[in-house]
Amino acid sequence: MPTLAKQSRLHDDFARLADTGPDTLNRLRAEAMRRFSDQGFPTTKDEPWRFTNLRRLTQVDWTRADRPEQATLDQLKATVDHYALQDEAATTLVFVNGVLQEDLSRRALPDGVALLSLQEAAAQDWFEAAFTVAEDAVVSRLPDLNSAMAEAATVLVVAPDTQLTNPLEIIHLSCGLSAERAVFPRTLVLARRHAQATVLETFIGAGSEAYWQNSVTQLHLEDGAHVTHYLAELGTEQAFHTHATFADLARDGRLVSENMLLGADLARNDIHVNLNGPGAEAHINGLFLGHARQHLDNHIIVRHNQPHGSSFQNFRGILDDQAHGVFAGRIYVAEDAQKTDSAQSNRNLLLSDDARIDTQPKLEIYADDVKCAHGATTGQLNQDALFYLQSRGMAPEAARNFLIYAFAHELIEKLAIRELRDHLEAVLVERFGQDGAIDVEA
Amino acid sequence: MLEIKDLHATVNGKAILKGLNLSIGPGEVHCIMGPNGSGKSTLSQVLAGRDAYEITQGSVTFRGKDLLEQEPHERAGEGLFLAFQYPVEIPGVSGNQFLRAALNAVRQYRGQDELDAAQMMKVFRERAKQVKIELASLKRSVNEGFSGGEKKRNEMLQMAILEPHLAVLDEVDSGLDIDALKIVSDAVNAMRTTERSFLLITHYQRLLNHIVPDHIHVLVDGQIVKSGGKELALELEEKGYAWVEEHTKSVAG
Repeated sequence: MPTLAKQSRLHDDFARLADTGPDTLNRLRAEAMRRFSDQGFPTTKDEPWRFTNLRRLTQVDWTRADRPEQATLDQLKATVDHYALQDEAATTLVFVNGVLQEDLSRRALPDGVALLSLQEAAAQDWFEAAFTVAEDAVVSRLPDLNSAMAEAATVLVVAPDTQLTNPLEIIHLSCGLSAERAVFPRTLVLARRHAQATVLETFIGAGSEAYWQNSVTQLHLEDGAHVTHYLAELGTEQAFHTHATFADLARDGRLVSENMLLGADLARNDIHVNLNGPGAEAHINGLFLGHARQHLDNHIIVRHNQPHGSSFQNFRGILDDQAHGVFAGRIYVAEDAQKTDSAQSNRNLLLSDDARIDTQPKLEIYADDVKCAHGATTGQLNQDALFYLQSRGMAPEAARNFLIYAFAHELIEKLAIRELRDHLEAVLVERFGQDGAIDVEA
Repeated sequence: MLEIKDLHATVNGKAILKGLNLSIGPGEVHCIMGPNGSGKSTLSQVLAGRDAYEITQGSVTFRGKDLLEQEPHERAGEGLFLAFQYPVEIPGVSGNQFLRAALNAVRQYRGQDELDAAQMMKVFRERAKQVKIELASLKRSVNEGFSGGEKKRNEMLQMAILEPHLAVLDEVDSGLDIDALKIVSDAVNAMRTTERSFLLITHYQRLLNHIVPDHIHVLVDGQIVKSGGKELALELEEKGYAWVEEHTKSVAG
C-alpha cells in the first residue's frame, strides 16, 4: 500500500487510542481502521477522485494534533470571537484540535437538546447504527479514518417535536502552530420525530503551518424532522480539508444543506443524502470561491429510495487565478421511487484564463414516473451587464467586482442566519469590493 | 451641450451611421424618430460608449470635451445618462446597492465626497419625490423579474438620482401601456430644466403627446434626413416613414 507508507505516525496514534473507549466504540474503531488500511487513500484512478489529487496530502506523515497550551488558547480567543455567532441565544461549541474547550464555548443548551460525549453516546442502543457509515455510501475510506481516529465527537440528540429557534454552532479550529498535524472532527445529529434544528459547522484554522482536517458529519432525520446544516470552510491558505456529510431522511424529513467553501488550500466536500422515507425533501446548496491555487471539490450523491421525494441541488463556483473547482452531482432514483422530483444546477464563473472547473452531472434513474432536471453553465461575466454598470459610472474593475459579488450574493442572501450572511458578505467585499463600491445591504 | 459631426459607425464591418450631424443646446429636448434599422439604437449605444461599435469617421463633443475618447464610466461622470431600451437584469444585488455604488462612483469622478448610507437614502427620497416614482423597487434585485413598465420606471429613477446633464432615452416608450407611459413622461418633464438636455429616441409619435420636444429629427439609413419642430411628428404620424424615405430619395435622385 504505497499511499500508506508515510502514514506510520497515524498508525501509532491509533494504537494508543485503540483500547481507551467502551467496547462498542473500540470495535467500531478497529473495523474502521482496518478498512482504511486495506484501501488507503483514494487516488485519481478512483472515478470519484478523478479531478482531485491528494498527493500533496498523502506525502505528509501526519500525526494527531496535540492539545493546545493555555497560552495558545488565549491567543486563539480573538480568532474564535471573529467567527463565532455573537447572538447570545446561540449555543456555541468550540473544539480546538479536536478537544472541546469549555472556556471558549457557550454550552447553554436549549430545552429538548442533549449533548453527549462520544463515550456517552457509545452506550446508547442506537449508537452502532447511527455511527456506522453505510458501506454503499462511501466514495473513499477517509470517513473510516475519521471513525478510527476521532477521539471526541459532538453528538446532539434533539427530542421529538422540539423546535429550536437558534442555531447550534460548532467551531472546529485547527491550530497549525506545529507542522503535520491532523484533526478528526466528528458530528452526529439525531433529530427525533418532528424535531427541528439548525446546526452550523465552521471550520477554521490559525497559524501558518499546514494542517489537515478530516471531518465527518452524520445527520439522522426521523419522520417529519427538519434539519438545516451549514458547513462553512474558512480555513487558512495552508489547510487541507476532507469532509463528508451523511444525511438519512425518514418519511417527510426535510434537509437543507448549505455549503460554503471559501478557505483551505485543498477542500473536498462529499455530501451523501439518502431519502429513505416517502415524501422526504432535500435542498443542497453551495458556493465555492477559489483564488490563488485553491482546489475546491464538491461531490454530491442524492439517493431517492422511496416515492414522492424531492431534491434540489444548487451550486455556484467563482474561480480566479489558478484555482480549480470541481462539482460532481449525482442523482440516483431507485425503481420504487416514483413521483420523484429532482433538479440540479451548477453555475460557474471563471475569472482568469488559468482557472479551471470540472463539472459533472450524473443521473441514474430506474423509476419511470419522475421529474429530473439538470444543468450546468460555465462562463465569463455578462458583457451587457458590465456595460450597463459602466454606463452608470462604475469603472471597468468596479463593474466586474460588482457582478461577481452579485453572482455569489444570490446564494448568500437566502441563508437564514443573518450573522453568517454578514460574515460571508464581508469576505466577498474583501475579495471583490473596491473603494467601497459594494456596500453591504443594511 | 452635444455636438455630433459627420458621425460614421460600423458594427461587424457593416456601416450603420453614415454621416450623422446633430447639435443639442442646454435645456433643449430633441427627438429622433425613424423606421426600424435606421440606426436609432446604434446612436444611443455609440454615445454611451459601447465597444461593439467602431467609429470610422466624425466627432462627438460633449460639454466641450471629446466624448469618443472617454470610457463609458467617464461619460457617466461627465453627465451623460442612457436609459436603456432593454435594461439589464442583475440578480443578487438590490437596486439600493446598485445605485449607491453608481452615485458614489459618479460623485468620486466629479470630485465630490462620497455619501454614507443615510445621506444616500436622503438623496434617493428627494429625487424619487421629484419624479413621483416609489423607491420600493430598489429593495428588489436590479430589474430582476420586473415588468417592462417597472424596468422603464427604474431607469427614470436612476436618471433622477444620477442627475445627468444630458439624458438619452432609447425607446423609453416601447412596450409600455398608457399608464406606464404617463409615469415615465411625467418623470422626464419633472427633470426638465433650462440646463438639462434630453435626446428622445423613439419609433412612435405617441410619446410626444406627453413630452413635447423642441426639435424633431428623422433618421433614415444612418443619416438625419429631415428636421423640424414638434409639428413634424404629426406629419410623420399621418403620412408614415415611407413619406420621408420617398421624399429623401427624390431629393437625392
